[in-house]
Amino acid sequence: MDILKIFLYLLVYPGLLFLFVYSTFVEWIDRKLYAKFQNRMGPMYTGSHGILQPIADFVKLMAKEDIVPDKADKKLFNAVPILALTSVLTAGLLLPVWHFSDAFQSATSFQGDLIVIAYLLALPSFAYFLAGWASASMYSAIGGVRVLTLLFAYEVPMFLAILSPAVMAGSWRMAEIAAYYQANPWYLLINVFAFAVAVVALQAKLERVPFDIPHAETEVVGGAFTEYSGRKLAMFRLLADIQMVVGAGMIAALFLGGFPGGLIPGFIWFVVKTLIVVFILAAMRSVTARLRIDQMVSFSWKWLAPLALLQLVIVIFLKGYLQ
Amino acid sequence: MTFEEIKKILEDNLKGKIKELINPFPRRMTLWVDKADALETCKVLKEKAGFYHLSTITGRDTGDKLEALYHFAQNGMSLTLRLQTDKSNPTLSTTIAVYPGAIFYEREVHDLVGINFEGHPDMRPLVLPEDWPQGVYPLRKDWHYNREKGAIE
Amino acid sequence: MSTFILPVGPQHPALKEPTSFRFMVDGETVVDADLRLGYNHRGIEKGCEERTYIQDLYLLERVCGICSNVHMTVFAQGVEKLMGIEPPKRGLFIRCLMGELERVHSHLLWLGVAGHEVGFDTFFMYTWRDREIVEDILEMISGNRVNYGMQTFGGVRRDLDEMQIKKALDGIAALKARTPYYLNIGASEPTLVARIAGVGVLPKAKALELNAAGPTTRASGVDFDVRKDDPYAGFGEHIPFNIVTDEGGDVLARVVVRAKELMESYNICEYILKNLPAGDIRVKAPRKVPEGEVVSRAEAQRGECIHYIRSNGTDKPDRVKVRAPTLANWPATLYMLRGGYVADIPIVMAAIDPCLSCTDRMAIITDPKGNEKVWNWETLRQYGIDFYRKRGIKL
Repeated sequence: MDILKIFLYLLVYPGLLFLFVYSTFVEWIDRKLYAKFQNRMGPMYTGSHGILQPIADFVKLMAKEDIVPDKADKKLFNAVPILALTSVLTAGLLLPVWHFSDAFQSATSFQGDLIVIAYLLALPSFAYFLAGWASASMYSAIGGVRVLTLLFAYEVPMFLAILSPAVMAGSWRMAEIAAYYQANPWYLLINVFAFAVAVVALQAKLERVPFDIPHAETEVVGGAFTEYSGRKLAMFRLLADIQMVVGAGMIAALFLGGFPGGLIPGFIWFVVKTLIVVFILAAMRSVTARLRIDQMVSFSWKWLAPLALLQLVIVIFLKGYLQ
Repeated sequence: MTFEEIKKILEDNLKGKIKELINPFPRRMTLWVDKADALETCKVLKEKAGFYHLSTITGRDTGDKLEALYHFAQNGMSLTLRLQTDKSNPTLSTTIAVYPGAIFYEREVHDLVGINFEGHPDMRPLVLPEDWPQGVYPLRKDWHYNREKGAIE
Repeated sequence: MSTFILPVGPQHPALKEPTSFRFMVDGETVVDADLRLGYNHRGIEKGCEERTYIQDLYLLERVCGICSNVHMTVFAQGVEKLMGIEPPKRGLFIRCLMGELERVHSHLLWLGVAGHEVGFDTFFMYTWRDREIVEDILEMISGNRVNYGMQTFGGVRRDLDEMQIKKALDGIAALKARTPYYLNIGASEPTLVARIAGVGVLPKAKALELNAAGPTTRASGVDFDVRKDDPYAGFGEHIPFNIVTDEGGDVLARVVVRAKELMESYNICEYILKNLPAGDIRVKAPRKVPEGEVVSRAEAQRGECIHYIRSNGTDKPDRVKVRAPTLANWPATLYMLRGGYVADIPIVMAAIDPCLSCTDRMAIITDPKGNEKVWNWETLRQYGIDFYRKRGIKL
């Protein structure tokens, strides 16, 4: 029976199937919100109000011709999308949505899973860089270098931001952090700066406006993905959607009190809380223009990192006071 | 400035070099000088007569000669400077020292009419392909375009 | 990273039409820029010599999709001068009205494109939604959204009735209410301003020296506007308006100048619609044009548009030279791009509102051996098959 549960966990919920279906749904929500902000309709034809459009796009890309450039490093070029997709899918398994038991640690929920999920979510950026490097194209190379520059800008504030709730709860396990805040919901308000920093950093991690510098289409065509087509591009697209779900899930678990109440209520909480984060992300990309890479780096070190540090100091003092 | 004022400035500064100076329409004037005096005329136009803007250069095939028409402008007046050169050795001196904005116009005239601008730093083709045959200038009167049969319609 | 060449074009997402830039790039900085035109050359100047004047009028309208009316206006008023005819006042006012409506649609389009080039797509969607209002007015007056076919020798081809004037005034009132909002966004939205302030600076001296035209120079503080310098159609003594200039010289100043010009254009349109003189809209024009030459100018939305027309006494012109404003602005653009960031290339390029089909006017297809010819369908197909076979792709 435990074996069956593990398979269910890996393949259905919150594993592959759920992440695929839910990420396409989140992409649809994001596109619809973006369209509404811009006074447009958004996707309308595939399914009810275009709800199946992301799946249709995915299937279409899977069916397209897959071209590998002559001069590209072929092994790396082919391996990178799979590696990157694997890392975010693995990160998805660590989300504290469905536990066999809160009290005991398991392979998917353990002390330190917060660090592992942050690490797994950072891996795609390196994959993008490698993809750009392996493509042997001018635009890809610039895109790849920009990915790394951006990584140095947002990753430190991101880590600092997720540190605060962990320090407050005194645990490195997301399920326990969530349980701590479920017991003391008012403490969530303490972390409001860290929440803001984390959301902005997540936007940068997802490379969306105003931080879509690595694949700014009017500057570097497709950035690291310029030479990718067909199945591999589909994988990158899917990966970005899943990264959004997992990132939003992580922020919801840390800053919004997690997903209490067992399987069904927990699922509903998960949908509601991730959609709150997605709404903020969509609004952010509607109202801003793309920054330049130097502006992004200075913004990150001038504002995001100090704000996250300030939050950490506040949390440490508060924790001492409360004890 | 009015036509009379500009006429006086030009006649003072370009004594005996003016072949023709007319005012065919309101706010339009045409000046014709020898090609050897081109650079000096441009300097006078820019510095003395106040023509700060070079609108464009038209290349024209008159039949036995090639003509370059420089269209200058200032507030309230547009002047056309006419220079002519032989078809056998079509050269003019470049004016980019006085009007740096002429750089693309001269390249375009070179491409399409075939006037060489001596002293121009960069006479590569601008609008015609690199493999365009040498010595063929599409805007001359002896060039005709014949569409081949079977072309994509 | 050492210096390398970054090609932008002939096909690139930042370019709406084909042209080719070669940027020498050092890291993220542009060291030098070079330009190659001609991908859109269609032989219109040569074609004009082989057609009658009235055919040329419609051929020249197709120089460009956005500034079609301006080319038609310039050619028509040039030939009118040669013919020695003067259009009636109502015709001239409607000619002005079309020019200003075209300017409104083009500037709204440009604001959106500028937003898109810096990744601000919401701005793009908003301005293009409002552009539909002016497109509807243009369609109501002329029957077309892009190539209006309104001008002819001796006046304009269609009249306005009371109903149309009322609808046009309503539309312009709606636009007049919306535009200050765009000016506000363009001049104060922090991420947008961060991308356009101090970028692509063109000092006043350089703008004069490189003979730039249109909003590009007016944003550098030069009050160069053909509508004022060389009044045509109803401008000059009849229709009041102000020239908008800005001292900034950067892309932000160009956004501000264009947004303010929109407001001026609304005022001009309202003035024309409210004070439209009664009478005919055109006079009869002869078929043959007496010998002569004329320079005709007008202020297109991108700057000065100039035609040189030479007639030889027949019904076909001897030489027609077209210079659209974009070509005048390229030297200034190359100056602005040098020393900037790679990320600023699209917005600096877009800031002059480039229109490449205006700039290029002739096309010839050549085979790889350099023989100039037009390919038929079979050869083209075979060339395509061979091209991919050589690269190891089976067809």
